[in-house]
This record gives sequence, C-alpha cells and structure tokens, in this order.
Amino acid sequence: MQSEPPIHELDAEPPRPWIANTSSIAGSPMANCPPSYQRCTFNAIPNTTQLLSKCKIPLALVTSPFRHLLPGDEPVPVIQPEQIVRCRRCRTYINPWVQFVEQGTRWKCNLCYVVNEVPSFFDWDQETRQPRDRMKRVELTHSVIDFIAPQEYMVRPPQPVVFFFVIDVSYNAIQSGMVATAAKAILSALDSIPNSDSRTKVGIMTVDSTLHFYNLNAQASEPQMLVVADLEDVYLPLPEDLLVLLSESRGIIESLLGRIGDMLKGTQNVQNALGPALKAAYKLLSPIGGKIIVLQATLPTLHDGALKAREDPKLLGTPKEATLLQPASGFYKTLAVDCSRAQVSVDLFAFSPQYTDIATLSGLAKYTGGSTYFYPGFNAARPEDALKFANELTHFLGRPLLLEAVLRVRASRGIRLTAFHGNFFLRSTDLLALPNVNPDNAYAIEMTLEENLSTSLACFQSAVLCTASNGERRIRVVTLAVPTTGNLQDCFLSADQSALAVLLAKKAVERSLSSKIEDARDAIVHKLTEIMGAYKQNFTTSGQAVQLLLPENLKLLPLLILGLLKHAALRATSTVSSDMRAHVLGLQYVFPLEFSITNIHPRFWALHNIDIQSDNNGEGVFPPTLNLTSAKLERHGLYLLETGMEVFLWVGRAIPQELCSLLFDKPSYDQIPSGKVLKIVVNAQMCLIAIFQVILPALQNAYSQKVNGLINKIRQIRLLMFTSYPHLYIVKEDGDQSLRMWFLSHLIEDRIEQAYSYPQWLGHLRDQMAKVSSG
Amino acid sequence: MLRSTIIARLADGLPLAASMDDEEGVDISEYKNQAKQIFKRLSTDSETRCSVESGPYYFHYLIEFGVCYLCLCDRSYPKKLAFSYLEELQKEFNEKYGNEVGTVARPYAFVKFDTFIQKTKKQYKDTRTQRNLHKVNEDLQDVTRIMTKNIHEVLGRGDQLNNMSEMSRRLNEQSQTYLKNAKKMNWQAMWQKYGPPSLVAAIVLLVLYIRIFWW
Repeated sequence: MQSEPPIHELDAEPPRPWIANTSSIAGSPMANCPPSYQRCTFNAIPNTTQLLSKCKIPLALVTSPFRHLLPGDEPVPVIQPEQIVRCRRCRTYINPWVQFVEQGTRWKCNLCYVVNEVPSFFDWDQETRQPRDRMKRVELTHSVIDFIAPQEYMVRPPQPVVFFFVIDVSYNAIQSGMVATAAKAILSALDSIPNSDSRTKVGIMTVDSTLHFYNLNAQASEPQMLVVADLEDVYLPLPEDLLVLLSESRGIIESLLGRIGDMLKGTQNVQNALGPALKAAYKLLSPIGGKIIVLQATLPTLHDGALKAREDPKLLGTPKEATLLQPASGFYKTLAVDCSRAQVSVDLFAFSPQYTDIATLSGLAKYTGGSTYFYPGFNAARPEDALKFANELTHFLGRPLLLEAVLRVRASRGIRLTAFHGNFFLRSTDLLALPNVNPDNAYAIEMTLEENLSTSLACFQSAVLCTASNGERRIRVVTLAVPTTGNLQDCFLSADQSALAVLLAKKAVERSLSSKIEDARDAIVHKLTEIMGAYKQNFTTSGQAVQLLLPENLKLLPLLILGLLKHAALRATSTVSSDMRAHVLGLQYVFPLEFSITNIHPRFWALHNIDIQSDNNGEGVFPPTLNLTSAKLERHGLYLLETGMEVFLWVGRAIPQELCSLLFDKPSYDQIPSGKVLKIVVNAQMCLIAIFQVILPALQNAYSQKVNGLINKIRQIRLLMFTSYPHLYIVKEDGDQSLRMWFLSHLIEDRIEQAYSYPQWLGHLRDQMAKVSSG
Repeated sequence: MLRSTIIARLADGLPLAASMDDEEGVDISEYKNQAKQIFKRLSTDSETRCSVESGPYYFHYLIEFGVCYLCLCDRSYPKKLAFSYLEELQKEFNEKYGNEVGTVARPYAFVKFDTFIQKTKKQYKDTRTQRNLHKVNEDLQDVTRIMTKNIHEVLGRGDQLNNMSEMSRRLNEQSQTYLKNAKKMNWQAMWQKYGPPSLVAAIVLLVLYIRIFWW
C-alpha cells in the first residue's frame, strides 16, 4: 500500500450495484436507486450464509429517503394511480425490479416471490378509452417515487403544521443574548414557516422558575402573559388561544416576539423548570401533534427532570467517562416516547457557557426523530455566533416539513433486519415511528442472511408514509436492487467503503453509549482487521505476507477508520468536554453519508496557488483536495480545511505580501487577526448591509472574490445538507495555540496525542495481519 | 356537545374535510367508522336531512349539492341547534369550494376548511348562550319532520335486503325441486297402486286375444 492514500477517490462517483438498469422490467435509466438515497455495504451480495460470514463485511443499508434536494438534483415524481399496487403477502409496493409472468397477466414480487394479479388499469386507460403502455408507468421506471395516499392510509384527517417554542428566560439565557437573538430570528422566519393551507399553528412559552404562557388571541390588542407557578401538577391556564393560527394572530405574535427580549431583561432568576414546561407543552400539543422547539441555556433545576452539574474533568479520557455519557434522568426518554405516540417531535437548541448535560437532554430529540443543535459558549455580542444561530434557525423553520410519519424497510426473502440506527422510536420490530421526518437524518439498518438466497437479485425497499405540510398524505418508496453472487472475490470487490465506514461509525456510537468509548474503538479496529484478515487468508499467497493487501475499492478504508478513531466523538483524549462529546456522538449517529465522510475525513485545499481564471462564471469550482497531513503545509501557503461543521483558513508564516493585502486587506502577516470570523453581508448590488467586526473582508479583487465564493458555497451546501452554518476560523501558523491544535487535530494522517500517524497505522495493521496469516 | 364533524362527497364517500377533534377522555374511533359506513350507504335518493341514533350519540346529517355534512353529537344536544350548525357549514363550504367538489381526487382535499369548522363549533358549543337559545326557539326547520333512525337499521338494512333476496332465491329453487320430487313420487305411487293389476289385466287380455284369433 502507498504511504499516500489516493483521497481523490472519496470525491469520485460512488460505486453502484453490479446490475445494469436495462435488466429492470422497463429498462429505464432511473430504475435503480441513486446512491444519495440508499446505499448497501455490498454491491454484489453473498448468496449464502457461509459466504457472508467468511468475508466478514457486515451487510447493512444506509438510507436517507427524504434527503434534501441539492441544486441540480432531479425532483421526485409524484403520482396518484387509480390504485396503489402492492404484493398481497409482503405488502411491497410494485417497483422496477418485479417480473411479469404468464404473458403479463400477473406479476411476481421481487421480495417474497409470490405471484400477484396485474390490475386492468395498467393496460387500459378508463378515461380516454385507449390502451396504454404499461412500461411507461412511473412505478415501473423510477426507483424513487411519491404516491398520494388514498383514505385507507389515514387514521385521522391530515394534521396541520404546529410549532411550539419553549424558550428559557433564566439569567444565563438573557445575559448571553440568546433570547433576543432567538426572538429576532423567529420573527424574521415567520414568513418562511410552511403555511400553504393557512392552518399552521404557533405558540410560545417561556420558562424560568415558573411557566409563562401567552394568550395570543387575535382579537386582543396585545399579548397577555399567564404565569403558572404550580410545577407539581402542571395545567394549561387557558383552553384555547395558547396555540393560535399563524395567519390570524400574526400581529400579536410579532408584537410578543418584539417585546420578549426587553420584558425579562433584568431578571435574576437562575432556575429553570424545563421538565414541567415540557409536560405542559406535551399536554397542549398531544391532541394534534406537531413540533416542540426547546431553546435552552441553563441546566434544568426544578422538579421533574432536574439535572445536576455532574461533569468531572478528571473523568475525561478515562474509562469512567462513559458514565457521563449515560442519561442522568429517565424522565426525558419517557416523555419522548409519549410524545412520539402523540405525533409530537422535540428539537433542542442548547446554548451554554457551562455544563448543560446534553447527554440526557438529547434523549428528547433522539426518540422523537428531532435534532439537537449545540452552541457552546454562545454570546450574542459576538456577531458571528448570532449569525450562525440565526441562519440555522431560519433554515430549520423554513424547510419543507413532513409529519406523522412511519418508515418501514423491507428486504428480499432470506434477509432479516437485525438492528436500526438513527433518531426514531422503534414500534413493533420493524416500524420506525417518526413524528416529524428530518431531511437531515440518515438511518442505518443492519441485516443478516437467515437462509441462502435463491435468486440472482436481492432488493431493499424503504417506504415512508407521511403527511406533507400542505395536508397531502404521501408515501415515498425507495427501491434498491443488488445482484447476488456466489464468488467470494466478487463480494470483496463490490464492497462500498464509504457505506462501510459510516455503518461502523454509527455502530461505534451505539457501543460508546451502551458500554465504553474504548470498547467502541476496539470494536472498530477489530472489525477492520477481521475484514483485512479475511481478504488476506482467501486471496494472497504466503509470499505476499509482508505486504498489506486490500482490493482497490477498499483502499481508503484504513484511512477512514483512522479518521474515525481520531474523531472528536471517539478520540482517546481528556480535552473534549462531555457535552461536546455527547453532542458529536449524537450527530455522528444521524449524519447522512456524504456529510459523515466529510466529517471523518475533512476536505483540505491549498488556496495560495489556485487558478483564478478557471472559474469565470463564479460557480465556485474547488481546487483538488490534498492529503490531510502537515507535510502539505508550506510556510508561504494559505489553506482551507472544511469538516462540515467548521471551516478553517490556515495562514502560513511566510505568506506573500501580495496575498495578504488581496485577501485580508492588511499590509503584512503580523497584522492579520486570527479567530472566529464574520462574513460580511452584501446584497445583490454589492452594498454593505451589515458591517461588523470585519476580519475577512469581501474585497473587489478577483482573488478575494474567489476565496469568499468558495467559502459561501461551502456554507450554502452544508446548510442544505445538514442545517449547519459552519463558523470560519482564521488560524495563523504561530498564533493562538489552542486554535492551532484544533486545526492540526483534523490532519488525520499525522501523529497527534499518542495516536498513530498514517504510516504507523499501516504498520500496526501489518503486525495484526502477520498474526493472522500464521494460521 | 358537538363531538366530530365530517364533510364528504355524496357520490363516492370521499372525505373532503373534517374537524381535528379533541379526543381527550373519549374514544370515538368506533363512531367514526360508523360515520364512514353511513357515507357509503348514502345515495342521491336518501333523505336530505336525517338523524341516526347510535349508542350515547346521535349522527345528524344534511345533504346539499352532492355533499353530505355529518356531525356526531351527544344525545342531549338539541337537534335544531345541530342542524343550524350544519346549515352554516353548508352555506360557507358551498360558497368557497362548491364548484371544485367534483374535480378533486385526493382525500381531505379541503382540510383547510377545518379552521372555519373550529370557529363555528366554538359558537355552538355552549347550548345555553343567548344566541343558541334564540336559535332553538326560532322555527328554523320543522325538526319533527326529520326522521330519526337507528344505526343498526341504517347499516343493517342493506344486509337484510341482500339476505332477503338470497333467501327468496333459495326458497324458489327449493320449491322447484320439491315440485319435481313431488311429481316423481306421484307417478311412482300411481304406478305402485295400479301397476301390477293393470299389468295382469293386460296379459289376460292379450292371452284372450290370441286365443280368439288363433282358434
């Protein structure tokens, strides 16, 4: 193996299943699922249980059926056929990989092999009284489709969109400016909240040591606050008007949001009663369902769900750290499960300079399919913090919403689903209940072979039944077809290293939370050596024992695993606070595939020698990526590193004068400030809308525009992919020590804090392999 | 108390709008199913106004312009008020969405009408308010002419009719068979009674005949 891994393969086209689209029933080019929706760890599945256990690679599916459409993606076709055709035994939806038998009068299900009737409307159009070509039907040509669901798929009329904000107004929250920023952000996002049928409801509650409800009746001249101090037995002070129609009470809501920051300005109240607040919110929302959005800046201290500051820096980095990652109170999980049953989802925005026990609170989002957003040390006086929060909250409120959903994955006969990873509540063995479908999330499903596969094609179908924000009941069906093989070499050659790495990441998170982080790390390394050992045993001769051999498609697997071991979630270190650790673990558990890979293996570019002319239409073409090693850092260089959650700009000590002035508008290196950066905000006419503490100005020269363009493009894509607006940090080569260490910790091919460098890692693996082949 | 409201298209029972109900403490899902079945049984010749009793509740429905407006209320809720509520809904719904009713295909296409339903529901909730008392006393509609039926009749009627025709068909068949068998038996009985003697008589006649002609 080379000492410099070929990282450009990470950005290359992902491997596809080894079957041509022409073998589908209609031969359409869209017959097999695009890898961005669903990927399997194998692209040619072993067809016997012995073969699967021999090759040691886990069989799993990584799926994100409702991913965000990035610019340039095909929209998903929406159809409303006369009848939704499903297999009569296994209830699979008809898809491009079924077979027509008996001269086309019947169809054979590709998951359970039962023969079903083909309905007459497939060949005959009732309305126009004309024959139609069944091979043109969308169900048979597209692998990703949306059905509009008829009445049988509804237990109740489609629910409206409901947003209920639970805002912490204790001392910390007001002082850090969180409340004011949140109020402003919600105010500006009111227009983008989905409200196409004018049924959207909004409510607000503020919490400190008591609960404050607001009467938002549209007829009143101003909002009225009702204080409930009885935390023991929570009740709702009004039967209605706590949750009102957005379109009717818009004026009152705006007036309230405008005053909320000032109303409680001088508060000295440091207590917070989040538990009772959530119980009240649940009471209010349970008849309809909806989203509870919690903005929390303090540790909950009163009554149910009260938490203690249990962080002990001495435990970090030791095996006892795992205790800090376990939830301290079962209250939140129980409440989350109740919420899930009532179709209520909870999202958490946490801001705190001190310990907020994310490990416990994130249980709320985890079991209701919500998300957790963490802003450690938030301070609204720093405009970059405020901007990040405002951007993320606005995008969060404005994105298209899918409610009261359930997800079910079906696989061909012989394949059994064993484990599910992601944010959801598992109901009845294989039904994932999602009160709110999060387009940012992906789900990993582990599978195993129960019996040998008898056919040449294995299929996986994910179906999500949900209500769109305009009241339509929809079913999204995503079908993936993968051929089977009896050849062990084919199995290895078809493995998908990215899907494998992401699966191992999610399993590692689960292991960390159920036992210890060391165990998770050991388990990953063990799995990797198992896979490599299996390959070695079956495909190499004794003479090649000293080399480390892996098939081409798995060449980057050791690098990805190394990145995972060095990731903040799993790193053996005492410098990561337990809040941060819990948060990052929670994120890795739900990251979609592309985002996860970027987070494990950040993208790294050199900017000092980019070709400005290559990008005349301002599209933001990126230079080639570099290997993640400090050997690439030249003293006169300027580099950009992106993890998905942060963006770093490294300035070398000997950076040329010219670049200094072009980019930073500063005469020399010494005068370049380092730290968190605010991007300057300009509108289409290039007029400054906002001018804050400018560190990276958007200057008129081509170089500055190019760099700013790249950074903006990164932010735009990350916002769409995961509602993440990365902070930009300027790191100087001899500047702030902690910032430098943080930057360097992302260069995973280097040796950091007793962890292996890439060549050392390969050496370690080689030693492990030597032990294997001696058998 | 008004419990639930559903508006459906008469032709195929497709639900067009419904109220999001506060079902705390009361499980009315069984009654909702009954409502769905009532819609299926209705046709253009059904009465335009009717009340169906079912357990502790009444279904009141009103049919106008091919749309059926149905509400589920407690027994104690005054009929006049219920029909006045349905009439208000009917007027507003017809004005807003009357022409589109024939064209929609997906269920709950007008679910946004729910906001109007909720507002109207609030007004009619308390049977003792001035407004509602006034309505009850007004002669809005001669409610006594509105038929009250029982749910079992409504749902069961169709079944019973089917049963009747089935039974009568079977009866017909069986009586045909009976006729055939009876005829057969008649013949047999006659044969048994007169067979042997007539046979003997025929033989005797034959012998006599041969004797006479041969000698």
